[in-house]
Amino acid sequence: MIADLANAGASPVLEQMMRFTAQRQRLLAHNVANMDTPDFVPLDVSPQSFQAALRQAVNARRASGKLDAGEVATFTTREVERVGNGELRLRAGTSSGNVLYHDRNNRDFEGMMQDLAENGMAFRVASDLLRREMDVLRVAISQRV
Amino acid sequence: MSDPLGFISGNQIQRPDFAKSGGGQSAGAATGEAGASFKDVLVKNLQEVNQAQQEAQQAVEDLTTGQRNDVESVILATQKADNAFRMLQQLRNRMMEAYDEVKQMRV
Amino acid sequence: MFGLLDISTSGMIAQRTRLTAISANLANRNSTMPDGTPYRAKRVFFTPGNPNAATSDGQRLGVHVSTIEDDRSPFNLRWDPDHPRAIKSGQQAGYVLESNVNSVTEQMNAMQATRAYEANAAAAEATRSMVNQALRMLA
Repeated sequence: MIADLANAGASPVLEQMMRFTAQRQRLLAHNVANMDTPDFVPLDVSPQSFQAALRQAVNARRASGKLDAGEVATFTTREVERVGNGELRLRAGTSSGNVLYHDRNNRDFEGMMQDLAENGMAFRVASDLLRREMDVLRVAISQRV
Repeated sequence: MSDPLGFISGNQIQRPDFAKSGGGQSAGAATGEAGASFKDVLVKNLQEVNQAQQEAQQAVEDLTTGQRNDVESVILATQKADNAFRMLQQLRNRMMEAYDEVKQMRV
Repeated sequence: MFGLLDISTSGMIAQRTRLTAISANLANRNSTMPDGTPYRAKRVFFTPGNPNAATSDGQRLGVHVSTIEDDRSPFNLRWDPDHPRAIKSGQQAGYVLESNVNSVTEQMNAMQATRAYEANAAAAEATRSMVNQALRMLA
């Protein structure tokens, strides 16, 4: 019963997103701190591949018959590892800088700022939507609108 | 006095039509129409609220998995669904109060 | 959600590249290339679209630097017959070829690039605050 309560609606998806963005923020802060370090290679995980894996897990949950209940399946990709207590560990690889631009320095600086801003935004969106899910549950439980 | 609102038997007794199309208008017409019983209207509203909640959940999942990028429409969808749900909850509370009151009437 | 700021970021990167080229031009105003010709000003060319963006929206919109080319306008001439690089004969005898960098133009371009950079940063900030504003509805 408690597990069903925790996995109702879109809560598990939002929870995964929150964990991912929170962990990724540490990587991005590490990159920004080392902006002037010589021979530094920035670390990152790709949010696109995480979102693709999340999409697969969501589709699997829907396909298993329960439309809006049930846990979003544990998935471990090359970059994301789900540990027992629900924590997500990121195995960061070097960012795929496979095309060298002669203005590579410029791209990294603004790119880092953009990643920081977008990651923070994604975290805020996920946490606010999760709060809304919890509020709806509480309205139903307490029967007070 | 076992079924005052006609839930169980669905009898065509006079009942106010106060749940018209989920709007909750206190309509002047107090006669229940022959077709739509109160139970049917309530069930229809329940289904609509459920539909709204499921659409909101689909929107949230699409946003987190990257299939849509518009945060604002997801928020609107969730807010509409929540309003509908709270309205239903309040309706339910009022109905229970009314039922309790009716139950205590001395015949 | 992860590509919302792609467009503004691409604008900032492009303007910073342009400013780098302007700085190089201003610094090399009196330089000579190894083969003896004076320094040619570098011009940065933009093209819409940004192939490096992660999302398809970001690839279609935004801007990127397509080429950085030398300015083909003719060199300036300065009268100095005793200069070691003065032209010896012909119609321009006694003149020295100088680079075609025009400091005034370059400084105006630098101001323009700075303003454009600030505008792009303001656009990114506006996008962020719009999302925050929408999130306030969830309170």
